[in-house]
Amino acid sequence: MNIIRKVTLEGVNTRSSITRTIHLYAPCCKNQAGRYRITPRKDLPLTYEMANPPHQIAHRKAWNSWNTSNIDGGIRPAQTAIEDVFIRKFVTGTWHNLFVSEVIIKRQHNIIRIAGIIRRGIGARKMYFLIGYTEELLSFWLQCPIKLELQTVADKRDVVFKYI
Amino acid sequence: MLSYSRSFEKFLFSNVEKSLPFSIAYSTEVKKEVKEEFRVLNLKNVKRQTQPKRAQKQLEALPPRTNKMPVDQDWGSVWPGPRSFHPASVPLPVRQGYVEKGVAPDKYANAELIKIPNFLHLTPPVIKRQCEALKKFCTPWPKALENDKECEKHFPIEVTSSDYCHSAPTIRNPLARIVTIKFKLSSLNLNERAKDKFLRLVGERYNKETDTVAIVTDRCPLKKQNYDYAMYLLTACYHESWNVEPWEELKSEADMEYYDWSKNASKKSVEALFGKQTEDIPNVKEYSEAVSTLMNEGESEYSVTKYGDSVRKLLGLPDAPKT
Amino acid sequence: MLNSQLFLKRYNSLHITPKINSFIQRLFSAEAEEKIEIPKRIHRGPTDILRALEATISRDPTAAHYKYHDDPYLIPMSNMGKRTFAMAQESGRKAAHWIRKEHADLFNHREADPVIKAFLPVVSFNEQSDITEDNLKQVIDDVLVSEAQLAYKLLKDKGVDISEETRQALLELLCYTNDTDILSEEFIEERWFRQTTKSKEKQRKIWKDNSLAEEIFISIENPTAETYSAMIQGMCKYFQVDKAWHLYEESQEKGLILTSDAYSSLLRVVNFLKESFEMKWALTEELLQKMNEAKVKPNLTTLNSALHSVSTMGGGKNQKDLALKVLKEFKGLGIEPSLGSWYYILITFCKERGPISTVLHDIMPEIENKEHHCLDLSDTYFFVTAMDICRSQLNDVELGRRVHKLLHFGNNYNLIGDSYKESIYYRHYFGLMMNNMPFEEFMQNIYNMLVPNIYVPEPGVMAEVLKQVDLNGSVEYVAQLWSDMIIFDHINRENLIESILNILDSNKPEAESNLIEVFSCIAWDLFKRLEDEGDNRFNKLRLTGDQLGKVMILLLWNKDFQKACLIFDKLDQEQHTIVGVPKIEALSMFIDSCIENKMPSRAIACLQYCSDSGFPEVEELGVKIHKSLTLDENNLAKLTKIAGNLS
Repeated sequence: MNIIRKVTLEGVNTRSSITRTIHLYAPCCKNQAGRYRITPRKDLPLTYEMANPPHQIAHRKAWNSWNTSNIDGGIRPAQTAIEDVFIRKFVTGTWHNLFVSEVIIKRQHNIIRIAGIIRRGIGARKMYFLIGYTEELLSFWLQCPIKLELQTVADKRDVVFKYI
Repeated sequence: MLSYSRSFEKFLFSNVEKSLPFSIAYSTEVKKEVKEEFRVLNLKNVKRQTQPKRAQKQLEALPPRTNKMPVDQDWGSVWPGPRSFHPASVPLPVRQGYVEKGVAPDKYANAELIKIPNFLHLTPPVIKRQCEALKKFCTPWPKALENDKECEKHFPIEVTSSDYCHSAPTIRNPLARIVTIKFKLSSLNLNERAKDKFLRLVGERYNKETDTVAIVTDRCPLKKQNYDYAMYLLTACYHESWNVEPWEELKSEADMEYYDWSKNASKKSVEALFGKQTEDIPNVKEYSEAVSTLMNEGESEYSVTKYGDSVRKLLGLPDAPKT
Repeated sequence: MLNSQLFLKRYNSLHITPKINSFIQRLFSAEAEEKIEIPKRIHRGPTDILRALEATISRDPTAAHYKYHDDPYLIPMSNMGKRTFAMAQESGRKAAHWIRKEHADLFNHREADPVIKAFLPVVSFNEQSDITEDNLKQVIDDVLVSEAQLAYKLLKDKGVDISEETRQALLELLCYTNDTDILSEEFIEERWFRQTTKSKEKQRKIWKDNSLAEEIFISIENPTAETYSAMIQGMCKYFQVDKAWHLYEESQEKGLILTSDAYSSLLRVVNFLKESFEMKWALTEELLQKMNEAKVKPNLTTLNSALHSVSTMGGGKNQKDLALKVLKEFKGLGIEPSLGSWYYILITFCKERGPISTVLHDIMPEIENKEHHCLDLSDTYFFVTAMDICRSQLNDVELGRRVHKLLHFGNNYNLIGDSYKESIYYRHYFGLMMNNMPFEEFMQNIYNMLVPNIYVPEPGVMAEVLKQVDLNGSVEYVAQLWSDMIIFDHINRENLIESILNILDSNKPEAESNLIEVFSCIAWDLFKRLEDEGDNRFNKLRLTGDQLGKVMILLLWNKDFQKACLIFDKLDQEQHTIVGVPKIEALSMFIDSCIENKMPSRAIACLQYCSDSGFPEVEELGVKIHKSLTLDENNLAKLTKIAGNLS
């Protein structure tokens, strides 16, 4: 834990080498994943998900991805994780700027259920088009039935938990 | 690292920010050209130049349908299958989330409620209904097999195998090929010698306390193959244990699996000590039993004390002092 | 929280095997025991458990159809909405199919085990690919017409011989689909919403001449009965009757025995082959006779085709008798009529301009309380027609209820056809129930159950509902109906607005009830919506002066003077664009409330308006104003100018 390999880029330097060095200093050992810095104007909106740092998972937060690949004797954990990454990127990109929460992926047997909160940025007809498109294309890609279970919210400020 | 990345992001975003209003400013400039003189391009004070956002069209939505739900509705029909929580369809005022000072956030726009698995589709009345519906696929348990004893009497072999369901597009699991066969040794017809041979063949698979032999097979890729292999092993062991090989005659005292006092040195030494046959020596039976117990069952508090007592009796020594 | 993870690990334990090895069994049969009856495992298909579970749930009245996303923003609110949402979703799916077709090489990975064919890219051929006859068979099975054509051409170019069965199968495919790609079964929404106005249109010939089907037919040296049958059926289906008849005669010359389906298809187009009623019937008889001679067993399709022809033969004297005769004969052969046959009987007997026939009463006992499956295409027309007859001709509630019950029996709802037929069915059902039931009961049991999720009333039906409200005086429903009208997008229908205002106006509620407030809310809402909406729409619905007057009255009943002023301002300013003028009662009420609220200038403005509009009561109103309010000089001068001398 104390040893973190860091890639340093020394662009201007004539030596111009990409080196891997060992971190020897204590200040770099702190946890900074998933934590947001307080802004001076206190106007950075955080959702409940963002407001709770990762060590609160299983205490105050739940997981975003539910499947049986990581139990004892579970199969294909790596492929499931990669599929999750793909799904998240695909969904966030297709529903551009519309998701106000994280993408929640639940797997049950063969079916993948994708849930989340979206804002009413586009008309309902367009949403239906995107729903049909996402479900169908992802089912072709992942070769299992996909179901979307979305919740719409009028204003994106409804999901804000606190301002930092 | 975080600070570096943050500043990098800021740098990126500020660039993007700057370029956007630049384009907007350009468009306004073109329009205003006609009316006024050519305006000096001003990249600073970017915020003033951004046009006000078009008032978002107010897109109406229906009120949540929980308002219309009667209290005595059939919940099993409203939520028939597993589904992520939706606040407009569930008429309960649930809250989820931790706030140090204050009340937990309510169900609208609450991602936590969506994340957790809910069992709204399996309320007890629904489970009851579904069980009733599935009963037609079940057959009754045979009347003759009332208790375990009967089952064991008629079906001595117990075959165990597992099927696995996973949340994956594939149904294959390598662990599903494992087959375990259990049966009681007493259900096999073996004489002493055959039983001894059988136990030597089966080795660790025999559990002395419950008198069961458990054969686990997983070397074949398919469950059926493993089952056939296990049955083959059982058959082979049984037949082998009845088979008398010529070299079995060569079984000596050192190979014996249990200690027989009458054949061992202990008897001879006692006879030598007393100068008589075993039957004539008093207390010799107790002694022989104690020695056999000690040898067969290993040393324990009980067997050692019994041995001691029997030796004392045999040699006519006074009893051990009671502690 | 950890144990709430979703996983299922079933231990299939205690799978006690009865399959004891023989030698062990020998060791055991020593004791005499009672015979152990192990019941046989009940066979279940792959979806039987799901069907059993599905039988436990019933309809949820507050939810929209399950194909729509269950979110308040995404629930359709009108007929238009239902259609567009479902079609939008389908078009998204089509877009995904297109992408997969374009980039089929990117979708070659196989994740699923066992492989699910629906998720794999569709096989497509081009000139380079190696095709065998098996590929052609596969493509024919999957009903991919253009692929089949391409495959056939490639095989022919390569000089590969195709077997008889494959050729026959290909010919049948091409005849059935008329050489065009049919809509894949996956796109159910498009099929559902396809407006079936085909039956109303004149059926014209759409068979493709000189298509690949005909080419193949010609290339076969010795066409068998099956090939002839396939060609005849295809041509009849697409109304190429001359060629079909020609092929029929050819086959008869060669002495080939056609299949019963070929005869059925010929029967269906009898109406195009001959002109007069007698000749048509003669031809029908001839065909049936030929069938009999050739010992071809007729089936349900034959019955329905014969009935189809008889029912559309055009008025002959004994058309009904002939229909019954046909029915009886086929029953004698052991062919049970399906719902489609009953449909034909209905349209034969219950013509719009003919005498009223009670044949439906006789039909119902035959079909009630039975589960019907779709045996013929015409089955889907039955329920619509039956309900239509119940309502327009017989006006019989009991019968209507029976038909409705039959529709909901078991899986019979599948026979409703498509969305168009469904809406017509419910339109008639509504009309029937509305005219024959007490209004409250109707609203509670039928309106609230069906609207808006199953059926959205059309404007015409809405008008009838409003009429009923008027007749009954049940004004408490007006609020609900108004909100429904807003949701269903009916508000720019003039007659509906007219009726609503009339109802509100003529049924003044008691002073204490909150209905007054409700009414004025409705009126104001109506006014505002038509004002706001008008900017965006291209055909503005303008309120007439009379209607504005009614709105004003309703507002004034609730003592809402501010809003009434606004309406008057509109009346005044847009005098030249508003048609008509309000009634004098409205204006006098307005003047009264002006007097109450001590606004003489307004009162005088109103009086000016009255006189401009040419009302004779101007004088007395002027006197009233003069008496009740103290006016300053300007106003007095104006008043005198308008109303003349007031002393």
